[in-house]
Amino acid sequence: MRRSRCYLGAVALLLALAAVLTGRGRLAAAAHIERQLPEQRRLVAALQLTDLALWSEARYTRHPAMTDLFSPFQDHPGAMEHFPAGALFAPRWHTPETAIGIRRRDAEAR
Amino acid sequence: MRRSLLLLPLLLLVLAARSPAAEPPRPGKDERCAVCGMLVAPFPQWVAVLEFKDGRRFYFDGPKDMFVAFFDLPANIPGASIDQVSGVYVTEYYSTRLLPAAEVLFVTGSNVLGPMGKELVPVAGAEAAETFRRDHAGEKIMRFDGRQLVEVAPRP
Amino acid sequence: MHRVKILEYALAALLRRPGKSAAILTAYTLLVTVLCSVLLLTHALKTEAEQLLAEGPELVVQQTLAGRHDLIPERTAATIAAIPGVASVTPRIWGYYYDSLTKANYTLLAADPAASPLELVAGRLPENEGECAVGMGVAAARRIGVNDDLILIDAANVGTIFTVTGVFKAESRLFTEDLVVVPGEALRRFFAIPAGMATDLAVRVHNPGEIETIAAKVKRQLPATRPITRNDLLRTYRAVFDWRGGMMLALFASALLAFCILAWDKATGLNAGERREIGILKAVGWDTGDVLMLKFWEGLALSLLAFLLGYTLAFAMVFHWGVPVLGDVLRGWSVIFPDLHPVPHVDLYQMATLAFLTIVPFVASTVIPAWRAATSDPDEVMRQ
Repeated sequence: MRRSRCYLGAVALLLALAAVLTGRGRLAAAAHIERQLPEQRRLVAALQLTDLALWSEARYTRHPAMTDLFSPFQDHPGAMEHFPAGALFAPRWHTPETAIGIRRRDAEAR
Repeated sequence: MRRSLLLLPLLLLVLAARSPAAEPPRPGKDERCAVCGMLVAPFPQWVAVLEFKDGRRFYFDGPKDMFVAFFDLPANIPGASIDQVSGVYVTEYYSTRLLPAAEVLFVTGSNVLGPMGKELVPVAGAEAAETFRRDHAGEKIMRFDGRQLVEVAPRP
Repeated sequence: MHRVKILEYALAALLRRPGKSAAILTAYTLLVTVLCSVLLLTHALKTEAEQLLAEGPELVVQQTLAGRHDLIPERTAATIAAIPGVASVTPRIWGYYYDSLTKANYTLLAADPAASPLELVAGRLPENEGECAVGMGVAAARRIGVNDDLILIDAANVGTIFTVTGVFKAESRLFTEDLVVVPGEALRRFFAIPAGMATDLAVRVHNPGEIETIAAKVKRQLPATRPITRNDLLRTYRAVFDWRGGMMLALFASALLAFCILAWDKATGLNAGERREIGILKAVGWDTGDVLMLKFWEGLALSLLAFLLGYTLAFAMVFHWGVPVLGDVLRGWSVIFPDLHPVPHVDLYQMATLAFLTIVPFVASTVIPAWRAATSDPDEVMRQ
């Protein structure tokens, strides 16, 4: 009986873990809807936003709801974004080593 | 844009002059329709209200149910009669504001369905009512005279 | 008691081939993790997009010229405002800016300072010419903060200085990451948009039931426009994050295919050892039902463990560890991309479907070949 007890124990433990994670997630989602969402929606309404700022690489990915219906297929109909290159190469990540800060002279005065 | 900003206070003034009584409050979350028993809050653009002189308020999930109650008050709201009614309000279709029923026109038979199916859709203004009738395949335009719904003759 | 004994025996049988069992468990767990994290992430993002964008304009009217988006004359606003049911029409000015310094695209947007103060802006929205508010992505890319200056090159190729008056807070990253918010007239001058023109018109409508009718009227009265309703907007996001669409389908399909190969490999037959085992069990008096029960428990024990492990791992990855691998897939070519901290909206129905779609075929593929062996004569099975 040793093995089955071990196994059932492990399954019960995992089930409890999954249940706790899911339950806590639901609570967090409910708390988000109650606390953060109203303020987020106020911002969306104030700026009249229509899209998520997820993909900024092209205008039809930045505002998928706003673009011409055919723009994702400008290369040829049904083309994925620069396929297959886009799917195989990782984009180069530009983080300049040096940064120049520019400030107006009267910035200190203000 | 600027012109509409100038017009806004004027418009507010006109609206304020037209509805002397304050708009009744929006229904609470658990408020039920006094005729069909359905929850009212999920249909904010359909709410109708009967106000009584003793301060009681009854909410309905559409003008149709409100009129069902109004035309046979004792049967639907025990111990009530028409002379006790102090205010009849319906939600205007285009603006979703609660307006006194006497100030709007009702369009029947349109393809805009309320929570209880076919509705008497309240629209403010003869022109807007005619537009609504045309857009939504309405049949008749009615007016509420405080006691009855009377048909308004269609404009030529 | 009987069942526990069979489970005990099934576990012993699994442990007798530790290499194979471990390999199957690992592959199975990995598969569930991939599928689960895709479903969890897309569902969470979709829910969030729907909740947020439900507050966007009910109707956006764009001008089209030769089939492309064009500037819209502001006077068309009056035509639209005259349609009954329209609450307000606001001309919007916005556009894109390619910043060669950081090789990133920003979205420049004009905003009404009257909306201030907004809790999700550290600082305030710009009020005067030469001020701006930026999203966290822009702030990080340009290494600037409140009171720093942002220099952008305008349409006449002249550098324009904007002082940052506000940075959007982290809670709004999903929709403000690449924004640069500038006062309307300043943005018009920056883009050199002619007076009396706007990028598009945002229309607010009182009654949600009337939006479609108003859209149809706009299209009829202004044939060169394209009205986009809020439903179109939400439908776009439902399609983007639908597991049946695009990249998600590719991931999903390959993972399911891998699982099918795994199941098929098991289903095509037992090896000689397993067949002999079944033969011996039958010879010592087990009936077919017991053998099937044993195989059922073998399959279920593995799948249950793998599914629970996979789900827990996927949940932790998506909602607690910042979406490690999948986030990069989603990111694609974007230089500015928000850190994903999705709100844990979990669709339990979806998870139950996934459990059903993985556990049932696997258990079936364990039981069916065993059933074939168990119904034949034990003597024959052992002899082979």
